[in-house]
Amino acid sequence: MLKYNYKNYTSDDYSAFLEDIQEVGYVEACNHPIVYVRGLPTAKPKEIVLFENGTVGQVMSLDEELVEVVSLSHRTPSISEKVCRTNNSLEMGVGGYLLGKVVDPLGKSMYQEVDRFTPEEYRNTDPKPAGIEKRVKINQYLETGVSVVDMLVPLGKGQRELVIGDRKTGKTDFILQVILNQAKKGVVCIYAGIGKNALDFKKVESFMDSYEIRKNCVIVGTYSSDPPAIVSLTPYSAMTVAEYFMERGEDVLLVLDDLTDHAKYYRELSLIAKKFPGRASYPADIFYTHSRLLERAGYFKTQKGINAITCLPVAETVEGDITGYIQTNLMSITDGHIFFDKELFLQGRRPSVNYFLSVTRVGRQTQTKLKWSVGRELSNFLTLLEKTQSFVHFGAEINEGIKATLAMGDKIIGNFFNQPSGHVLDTNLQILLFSLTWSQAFKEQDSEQLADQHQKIVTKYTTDASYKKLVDEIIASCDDFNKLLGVISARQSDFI
Amino acid sequence: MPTEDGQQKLAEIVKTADGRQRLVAQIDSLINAFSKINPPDAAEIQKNYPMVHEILPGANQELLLKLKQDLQNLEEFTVNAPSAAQDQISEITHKWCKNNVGDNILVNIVPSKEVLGGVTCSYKGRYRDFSLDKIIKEKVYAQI
Repeated sequence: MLKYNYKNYTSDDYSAFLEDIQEVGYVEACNHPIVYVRGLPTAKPKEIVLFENGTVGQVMSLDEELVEVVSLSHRTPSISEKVCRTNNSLEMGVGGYLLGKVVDPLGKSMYQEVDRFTPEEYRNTDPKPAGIEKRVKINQYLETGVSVVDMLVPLGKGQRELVIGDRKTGKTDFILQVILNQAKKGVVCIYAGIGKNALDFKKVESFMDSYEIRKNCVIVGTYSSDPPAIVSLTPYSAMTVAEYFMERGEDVLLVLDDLTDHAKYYRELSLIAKKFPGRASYPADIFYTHSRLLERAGYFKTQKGINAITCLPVAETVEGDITGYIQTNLMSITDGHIFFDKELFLQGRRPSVNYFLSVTRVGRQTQTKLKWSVGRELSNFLTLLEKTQSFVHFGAEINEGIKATLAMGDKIIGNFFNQPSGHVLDTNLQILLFSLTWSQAFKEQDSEQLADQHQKIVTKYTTDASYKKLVDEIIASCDDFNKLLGVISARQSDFI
Repeated sequence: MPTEDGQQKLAEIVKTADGRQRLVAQIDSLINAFSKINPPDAAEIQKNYPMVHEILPGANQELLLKLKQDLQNLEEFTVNAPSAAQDQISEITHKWCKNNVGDNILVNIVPSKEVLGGVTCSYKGRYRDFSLDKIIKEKVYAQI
């Protein structure tokens, strides 16, 4: 089977396909990137076609007399130019070599002057999602390393959790923290940058290099200057790479950054192709565009066992409006969402997760009894804190109980939940820190001193094996938060 | 003229894709002329638009539009040859197409140096390669 790519295409490929299939078309009209071709009587939807001048295209739709082809390159074919079919759908070259590399949606390196690859296999970028017989109930916990998410919005392996918020609210920082935590545990992490700047990719690469997790990561990306057809292929190609590694027997974390931009590029393509515009000028199949992509993530039975593709699609809102068309589409497709609040971000909270507006539909069934009871206690407290803060807002006199609640709230939100970029915490460490805070073990009242104290415990946990073992054993032995508090209170000096 | 018999006659008169293009240009020009204050009379049409007059002596705007539509519906048999064809070659090719392919067909001979010799043909999206270039690649290059 002949392969091609739109950057290193050869005319021999074109002649060979023409000879093999013996069908030809002629370019009748061109409205870049849509090309109208007359001929190709047995062309199939989504089939790849080759133009005489080196352009690669994909059949978008079949009209009565013309075939609509979307061009996958910047070059525009000329009128009356010949086109041949390839009888192939769009495929991407994949292999183990992708780890540590930055590739485009066709599997070629974005730094072609440095890297040249020979794929191990070619995979269809848009297959039908797996059926119910291959899916398994999600029962494995996914540690993000971010306390507010792990405690209040827990995730499971194979879950699809939407990360949603305004621009510049810390979504990408959160994503990178999750990638960092998972990559350190040996999970393959794939970051799909859809129509991003070169600088954005460099930031992600430098983050991965600085924490030495590059060898577990793949970046699939397109620049905003790339043809819209190529940009709209990015998430599908990234999912194809994820499926490859999953079938190799590895768990995968896939980040799609971001699907609202992807919808805009797809809208641009559809409007040029004169598809009838629907709500907000998006085409009628915009929901299907995202749902068939996200349904390919999950927890699956493979030949190597049971493996997961956990997907974190990102969506951008405007002025905190989560009722937008694409945003609500994605929220209905996914298994929950984590909302990043602009107001909390401006207050200095990092990450600026609004847990009241965040949802997880699947994560709780993966938690142990202890984590569940900790989460419940914390959730109840935060609800109480919210009510108390609104009460205090009106300047009423406050008693000692309310002062204590507010003080605890400051400690939890200001210190415990505060995690700057690049800082991740093990789940047991999170439980320990929260339990110590809750049991008033920390005598320090000043925020900075408290942060120092936290950092000392974190450092000790990561460097002292015996300390780590002690903490892990105690946490494993307790299945209830109150029991854990009792143990920690009795042995405070061992922990601080 | 929108009958099958009419289409055959049209193909017989026009013969080539170039001929169709010239005829369509004349039709467009005549339609524009009909829109003016002093539309052309029969004598002017015969003088200035000979191809149209030959096919449609009593032309009016409506008939011209139908004629144009019929012309667009004629199928094209495209031949890629090493050089541009003379009229005689076009005639012979058209006759061959009429006998072997179908009646409502126009011939389009496109000069294409890559062919070297022989021809490549395409009709209704089907493609056949009878070029010297292909034979050289198969017989000569394969042995090297």
